[in-house]
Amino acid sequence: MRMARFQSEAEEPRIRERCNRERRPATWVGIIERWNREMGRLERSESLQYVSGGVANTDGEGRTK
Amino acid sequence: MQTHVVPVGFDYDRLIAPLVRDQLDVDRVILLEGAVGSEANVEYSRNLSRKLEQDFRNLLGATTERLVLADVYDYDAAFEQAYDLINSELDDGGEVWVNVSAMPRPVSFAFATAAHSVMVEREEDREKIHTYYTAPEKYLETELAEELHEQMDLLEDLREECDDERIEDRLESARGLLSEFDERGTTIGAKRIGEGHIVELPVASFSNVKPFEEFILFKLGEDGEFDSVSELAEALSRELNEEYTDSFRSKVIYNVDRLGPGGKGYIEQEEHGKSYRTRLSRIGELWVRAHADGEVPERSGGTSDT
Repeated sequence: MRMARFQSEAEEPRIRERCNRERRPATWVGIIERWNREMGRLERSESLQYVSGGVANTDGEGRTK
Repeated sequence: MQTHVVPVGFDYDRLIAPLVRDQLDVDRVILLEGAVGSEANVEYSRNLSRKLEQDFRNLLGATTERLVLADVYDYDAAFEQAYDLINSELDDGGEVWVNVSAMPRPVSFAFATAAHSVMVEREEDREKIHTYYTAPEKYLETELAEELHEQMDLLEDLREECDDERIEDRLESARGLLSEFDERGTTIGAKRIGEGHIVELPVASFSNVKPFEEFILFKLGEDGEFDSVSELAEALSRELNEEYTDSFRSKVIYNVDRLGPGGKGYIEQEEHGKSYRTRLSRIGELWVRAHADGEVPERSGGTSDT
């Protein structure tokens, strides 16, 4: 059973905005980079770049691969 | 660099005197002023903050910064602001001292819990974070009440000699105030905050999360509630371009368990037939809020998230 919560209903839209990738692209780039590094799919020199609707791999100099 | 983070309420001495008396190093002070309450209260607090700013500079040679804490009853916003402030000072190589003596309790608990959360997440900086309290030598309310009693006696004597209706007005007002003070103490009523009169304070602190757990938390934050862990797992597999296999589903179940009430407490679940509705808990919401980067692109319309 879920515990009674205060403020949660009012809080939810705000949290959704915080987690929305279009509004917080750097957050999502960071998440996907860390996941890919853990899986060994991203080299140290590589980084990811946000492109509308998704995240693209770059060579660390800002160029999308 | 010794930075003191000081939320300012209605106190002056206890925010600066202990640092002078104990001869603490104070290089930088961040004063936080509340912006909610009666105009008189906000102005009173702002004046104290100005005086503190001046005296931290003059008496302790510190640099100062004054920031606004928009709503002193909004625990989550206060937590987020404290979390960002503490991390930012640590990033600059400073040692951080958080004074939780003034301002309403939601701010004190939010600042103390944020400080503890940063300690958990930045183990190497643990010794550089301090949360402290200072106590006043005495409270002025009872002395003010005593003085008001004395002045009422004086006004009653003067009333005999002088026929001025202002005296009766002042006596009436003082009687009412003292009667309320005697019956109710130093405060009156219970303020409505949000939907009710209670602010729940999630005092549990953060624990470190791994990349996959982080992914799950932000996915729940972005999409809200999932009707089952399987639905969440399917959504995650699509997101990661992973094949939705039993193994992947098991991995999600395992990680959701670790993030659940028996683990880190960032996720809560509600039994619904054979499934478990899954969503962020309050502390989970706080975690994603604190870990979302600050940039927000311009857009038209919509509500503000500040």
